[in-house]
Amino acid sequence: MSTLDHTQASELFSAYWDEELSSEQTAVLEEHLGSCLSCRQEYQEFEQMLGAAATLPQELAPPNFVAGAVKRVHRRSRGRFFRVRRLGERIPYELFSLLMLGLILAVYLMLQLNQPGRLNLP
Amino acid sequence: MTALRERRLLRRLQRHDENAFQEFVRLYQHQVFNLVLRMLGNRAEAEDVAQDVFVTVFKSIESFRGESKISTWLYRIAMNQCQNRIKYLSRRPTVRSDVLVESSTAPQAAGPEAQLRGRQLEGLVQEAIAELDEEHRMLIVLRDIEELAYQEICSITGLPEGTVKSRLHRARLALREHVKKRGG
Ligand SMILES: [Zn+2]
Repeated sequence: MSTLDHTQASELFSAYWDEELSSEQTAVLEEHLGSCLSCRQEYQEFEQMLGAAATLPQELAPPNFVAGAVKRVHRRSRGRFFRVRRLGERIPYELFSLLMLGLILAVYLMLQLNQPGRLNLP
Repeated sequence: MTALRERRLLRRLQRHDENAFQEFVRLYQHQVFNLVLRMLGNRAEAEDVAQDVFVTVFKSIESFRGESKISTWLYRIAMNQCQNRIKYLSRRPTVRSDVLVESSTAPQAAGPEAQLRGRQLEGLVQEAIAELDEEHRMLIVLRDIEELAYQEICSITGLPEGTVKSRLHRARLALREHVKKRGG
């Protein structure tokens, strides 16, 4: 590739803008841009347009955005999503079930002891 | 955000820590809102979709394994939801574009004439972006507005790098045509 026509030149605009051309391609394109007024103008406009795109002001989320998102998570999960509250802030089911298990075991052992003939414990 | 800070926040998110969620939304709200607004062109729709993006993030945080940056993953979810909303809106075309209403007010250092020209061009570019087809718009938004690296754009779109580059080039030429039509 030693010289370019207008179409070949404009095909390189993106890669040139992104600095992705090899040094050889860059030199060939720059040579064409140096000698071809219409491509030079085309590239200038291409460059200005992308420059304008890059400097578009950032649009900010509305002020209540964070609260809105949190509310939405709560609503969609019916309040179940966020971490289970710590023990003490709620009924301690774990403790409760342990106590129940202990109670059942105690009752069972007492029943067994009341029937000495059938006791199979080691 | 540093990689360490990101991992810490991620761990807290995976524990369903509400404060971590608030912190996360606060950190990324403007980026996500801006991205979604550029894609949809309507503030009310953009707010709705952007909030849904964060809900989805939180619902699927367990499945995030950290193989990409959080922001890449967030952008991928955002783009998916934008595409769904665009599809949905195309069936009921009553939503107006209002992206231009409050924008183009950024202060510029150049003289009044260049300033006017710059602002005019910005306005034209915004209008022209809204006219692009969905995929072209997505690539322009990711590369030329958000200025992401090609590798990141590949993870977001799932397209190979060569495809991203050639389609982006088409997108830029299409944008140029739309801007020209509007006198820019
Ligand atoms: Zn030429």
